[in-house]
Amino acid sequence: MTRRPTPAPEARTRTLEPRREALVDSALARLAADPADGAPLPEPEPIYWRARVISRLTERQEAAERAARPLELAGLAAFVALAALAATGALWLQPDLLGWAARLAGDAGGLAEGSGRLALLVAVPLLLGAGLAGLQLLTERR
Amino acid sequence: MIWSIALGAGAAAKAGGDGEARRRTAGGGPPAPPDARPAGPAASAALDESEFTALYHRVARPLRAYLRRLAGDPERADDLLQETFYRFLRSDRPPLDERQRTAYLYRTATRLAQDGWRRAARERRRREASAPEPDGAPPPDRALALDIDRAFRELQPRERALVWLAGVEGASHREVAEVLGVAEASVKVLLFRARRKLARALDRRGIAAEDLR
Repeated sequence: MTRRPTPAPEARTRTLEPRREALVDSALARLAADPADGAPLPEPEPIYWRARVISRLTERQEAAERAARPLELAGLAAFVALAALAATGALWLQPDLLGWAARLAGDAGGLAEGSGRLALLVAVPLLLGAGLAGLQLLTERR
Repeated sequence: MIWSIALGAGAAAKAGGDGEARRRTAGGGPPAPPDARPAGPAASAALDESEFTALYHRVARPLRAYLRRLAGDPERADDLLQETFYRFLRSDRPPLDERQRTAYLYRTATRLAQDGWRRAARERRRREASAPEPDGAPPPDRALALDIDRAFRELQPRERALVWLAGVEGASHREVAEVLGVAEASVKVLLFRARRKLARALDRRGIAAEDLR
């Protein structure tokens, strides 16, 4: 453990010599008595009402956001339900779709063969993306 | 204790003016406990206009004097004063008692002043450099006041805050530490150095305690 050097006397007492103490105290008293400090203060009312109005606006905005949250969730749930319904419908109408998807996944080289399949492969993620973006926009506007 | 000064400033102002009120000191109270309350409505909702106005009239004048010494510019001090009270009103955890409110206001004011210290110092130097020399010498009393002011401005902003809070507001070391965000143990040393620096600056200008009486 490092031993600390003995502090200088002034560090122990932490006071200036009396003449300097008096000088500093007198200077501070003079500064504190500056008549410029007696100038009129800004009015408090505008500060109060500015804060009050901004607080109210913020509260309203927060309340609107809180109110929009269940709607957002409901929208998302509806979207998932629709997507599931569409997938089920597609499988029901075209039972071979699963086999087709498996073949598609297994045969990457075959993708180029069917341009219709390729279009489908591009269109489905695009539609999904657009749907999600639309949903997001809708909830933001609300 | 600065926060009790704010409580009694109204009565003290009647008795002897704000300068006297600010010089009054009292024993140090316990430190404010850390605010563990959950965020509630802003202070503007917790305080009605008359309560706020009363608080403002108790604290604003000494707080503006403090800000003037930190910012070195009356206009900026007024702006900072308004911003300080505005932030107080917008705070999620408004302090409950008068002492905490005053401490909060001084802390906020110090932080706001700190944000603009460098910019304000640059602007002030530019303004002083471009200001025309006044015609003739100022009256002796005014010249002395200017000299004291210049000596005070030689201190670093934090030193000015320390010296003002302890020497004019009568704040305890604990309160100074709380406002400036430094360790309480450091306040004594920092304050000693700041006062010594001010004494040297006054000496260099040939100002003696006798001149100030």
